[in-house]
Amino acid sequence: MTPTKQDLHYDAVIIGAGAAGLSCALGIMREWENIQTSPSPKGSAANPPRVLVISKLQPLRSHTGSAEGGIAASLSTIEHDTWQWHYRDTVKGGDWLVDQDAAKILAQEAPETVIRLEHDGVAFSRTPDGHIAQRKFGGHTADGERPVKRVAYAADRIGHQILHTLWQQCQRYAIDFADEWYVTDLVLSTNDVGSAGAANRRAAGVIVLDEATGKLHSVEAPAIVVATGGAGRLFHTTSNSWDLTGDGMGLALSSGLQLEDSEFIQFHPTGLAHTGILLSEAARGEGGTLRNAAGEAFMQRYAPGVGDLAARDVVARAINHEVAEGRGVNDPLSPDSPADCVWLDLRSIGRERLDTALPEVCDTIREFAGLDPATDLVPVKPTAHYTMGGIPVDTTGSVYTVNFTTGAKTVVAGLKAAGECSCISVHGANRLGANSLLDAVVFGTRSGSDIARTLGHSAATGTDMATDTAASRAALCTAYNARQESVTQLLHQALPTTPPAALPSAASTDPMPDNPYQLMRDVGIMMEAHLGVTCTAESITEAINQLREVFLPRAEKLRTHDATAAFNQELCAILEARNLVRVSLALATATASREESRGSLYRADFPERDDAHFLAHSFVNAHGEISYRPVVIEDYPPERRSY
Amino acid sequence: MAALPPHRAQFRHTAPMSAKSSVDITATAVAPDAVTGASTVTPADTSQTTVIVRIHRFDGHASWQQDYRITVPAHTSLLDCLLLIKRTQDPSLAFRYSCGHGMCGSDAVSIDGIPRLLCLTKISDVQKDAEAQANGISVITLAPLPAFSPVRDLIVNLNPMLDQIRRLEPYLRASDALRTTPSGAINVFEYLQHPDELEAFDQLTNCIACGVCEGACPIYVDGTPFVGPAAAVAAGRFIFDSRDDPQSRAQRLAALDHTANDPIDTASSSNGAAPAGIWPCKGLRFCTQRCPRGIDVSGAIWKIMQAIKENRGRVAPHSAVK
Ligand SMILES: Cc1cc2nc3c(=O)[nH]c(=O)nc-3n(C[C@H](O)[C@H](O)[C@H](O)COP(=O)(O)OP(=O)(O)OC[C@H]3O[C@@H](n4cnc5c(N)ncnc54)[C@H](O)[C@@H]3O)c2cc1C
Ligand code: SF4
Ligand code: FES
Repeated sequence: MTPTKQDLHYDAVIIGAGAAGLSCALGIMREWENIQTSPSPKGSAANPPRVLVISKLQPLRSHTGSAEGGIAASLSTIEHDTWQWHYRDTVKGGDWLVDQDAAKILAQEAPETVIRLEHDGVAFSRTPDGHIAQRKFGGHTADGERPVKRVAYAADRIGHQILHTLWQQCQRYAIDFADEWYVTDLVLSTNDVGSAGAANRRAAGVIVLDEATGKLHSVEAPAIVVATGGAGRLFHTTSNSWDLTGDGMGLALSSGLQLEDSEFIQFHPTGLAHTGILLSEAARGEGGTLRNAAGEAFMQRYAPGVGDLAARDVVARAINHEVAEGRGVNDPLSPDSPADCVWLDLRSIGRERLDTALPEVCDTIREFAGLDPATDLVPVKPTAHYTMGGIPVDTTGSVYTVNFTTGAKTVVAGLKAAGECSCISVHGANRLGANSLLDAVVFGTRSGSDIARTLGHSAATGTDMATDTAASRAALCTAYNARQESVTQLLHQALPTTPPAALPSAASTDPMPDNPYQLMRDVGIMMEAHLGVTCTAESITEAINQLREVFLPRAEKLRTHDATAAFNQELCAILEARNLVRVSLALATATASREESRGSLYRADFPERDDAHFLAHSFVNAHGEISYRPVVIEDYPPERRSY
Repeated sequence: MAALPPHRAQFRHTAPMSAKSSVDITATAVAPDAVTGASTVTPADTSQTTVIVRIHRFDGHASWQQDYRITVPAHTSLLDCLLLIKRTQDPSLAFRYSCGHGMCGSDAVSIDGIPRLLCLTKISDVQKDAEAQANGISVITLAPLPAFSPVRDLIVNLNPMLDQIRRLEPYLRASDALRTTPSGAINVFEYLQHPDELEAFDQLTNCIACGVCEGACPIYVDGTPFVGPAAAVAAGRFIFDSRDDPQSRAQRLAALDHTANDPIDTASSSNGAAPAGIWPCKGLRFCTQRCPRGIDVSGAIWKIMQAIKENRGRVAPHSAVK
């Protein structure tokens, strides 16, 4: 059901309807049921929680649906595996920037999580005896020695399966959905009750733009979860969908919060040439090989033993190195562009196995490259794929900030984050394939359960979760009025448009005034050139200068070209473009200050990992201030990460 | 990054491998016999082409047609064409899109009268069919997806379809036999399902709820009370899933059978017509023909009809399954 009123109140609001947001919604409802049926129910007489899931896209359009390869868990359905191996692989894959307490939870809870998804309906591929089928994936090993079949899959459309299944299960519960509502503001209220006079912030609510009507709403809730996904659109060549503009991270920065480890962006080695569309790692898991212009399977040179299944950053840099050494190939679809691709050779897999194990990969290659993977070589190049960093959260999903002078952590009461927009950090400097859906589901669910317990507790004790509703309302009211004014301005100062009927049939040659679509494209091209697979102090400085001097002012000047409020996509795109620039700047700032190379971040001027100075998470805010906190190390002291 | 070494250009001249040639591969090569057969794919058309994209526009009050002229490689998708228009000619143009590669189901529209996904349709796919010509330039006409009410430009209200899907309780209700172990404890392992049992419904799980099949179905477009192909696929995905409870299955079948007089109004509720379930389908197969996910929608509907007939009388239609 979609809410109709303008001023809304919910027990919990979830922003985002991907794997993380939907898992969180289910987590709330299911944990609530558990509490009710437990022997001594804490809030027995109370009504079930009122939960609203807000999404700028209809939920089934969320980017989770594009995930292909699988979800990792030591189920041992095919060969012996243990969660401890998964745990250690995750730490190693993240180049020891992983908080080990969180990674341990991830690996430990993975098997039950995947089984819960199966019970919920995910149509996993099966072994001949009916168990969930598992495949190899880069970086997942048996005791660090050889690749292990750890990744549960559903052909190569695991994300689609998980997204639809979670949405379906949500229909079972009284969860409200607000589809095509765009969150413009994350509103926090400040109470001066903290120790030592520190301002204590808590979640107050959100301001949203209903895309269909162009109307603003204010939604008050004592519990808010940010689950807005990644920010691949920071880069021009990306596997991410068009909507992944880093909104949640931008919202956090705008409301005075921080981003953790935002300098770590994973480039997936096998984007389909210049489209950026992902060809799943499963293609190499199934036996695909990367080859240079001479036909050499070069990965054996860079990572003897694991070869094509080395960690993604290792493969992405190897490709770039081959290209730099002149052994790249042209994208046959853009013959005039530089020879900046290598070949992905899937021919040895054979047509039959290709069709059953990699149907989406094959379709993509046929559809978007006009090539037949059973007989042709496929051009690939690295594509921006995953944001390891994000809004800092603890293992219950609670968002915190770091005091830049004392280094102390303060939780923002009532505010949680989950999925790709958050940083726990289980992925450290580089995530292993098939660990991110797992992260989104495990920690999305945990956030939800925690909210249900808090709600149950406040129902039992008769306390309101929002300790200071007056302050929350005041903060929401201020934010609503400010946003209303800004939206009115964006629409009413609409740039002159030609009256519809009078438009010439061919494009006029007048240069069109700036617009958010052009701006986002220009930002992506600039970011890719200066902060891509490799960077240096010089390129980072150039990026920061351009962001400050060119892109921020351009983003501020944007106006819509049309004043119609209903489905004014350009209005949302302007807000997205501003988030994109804001997050780019945070990323560039964090990159500038990390003078080492680790995981996905490769600085040609500091090519070595530097544990003495940088075995630490970065925290940046919107003002470009930065601070570090040590990594949590429990079981695995840092080693050299070699494959 | 280091500047490209000078020998790069020379290297490129030394017989690089090309996608379409089977160049002899060195020591690390695959066994040549693994590579069999010729390519079954038509190579992409990289030539530049100029077309007029004619778009049915609507701002909530007025509607009009607007032409945009673009020059792009012929293999460009219509989604990329529209994004180019939005960026360089008219940022006010409204259409839904997200993934860009046929996985999210956002961008079903009518392309030269045929429902298709913008991102999976290349200019070269439609240009030769585009009969309308303006000054010798092909015109590609885009209109909102039929069967749904336009809201703005190419954006329609898909809620009637989503409501129909939702009313059929589209979630797995696993059987007790699976949920508990023989000793009565909760089953903490996965429900076993053999590959051939998966095969029985796997194709239907591929549906991305794009609505193409509904826009392609003359009966649905007509407004005849009908559950519609997309909701039938969504329900069929559970009907043929071996894990779903037998009683739940019977209930699903009853809900799709108008003679069962079930309480779920599966028809489009707007016109107040009687529930008609799945039966208005006449097997015209346009749904199957158009489905971008290659689902045999019509075949699934036929199988559901057979299952309904077998199911009739076996179940009290109002028995609740939770
Ligand atoms: C091509 C591809 C393949 C992948 N394959 C795998 C794989 O095989 N295994 C794996 O583990 N991971 C994989 N990943 C990564 C994984 O898919 C993602 O990390 C994960 O799906 C993220 O889920 P999420 O719930 O955090 O975000 P998303 O699914 O991106 O959802 C974000 C949600 O937030 C909403 N939203 C965003 N901004 C706003 C706003 N301002 N207002 C309201 N709503 C908003 C959106 O509408 C959407 O519903 C892949 C990623 C890509 C790009
Ligand atoms: S059955 Fe095919 S055409 Fe119909 S909604 Fe599903 S994917 Fe789209
Ligand atoms: S944009 Fe996702 S299906 Fe076309």
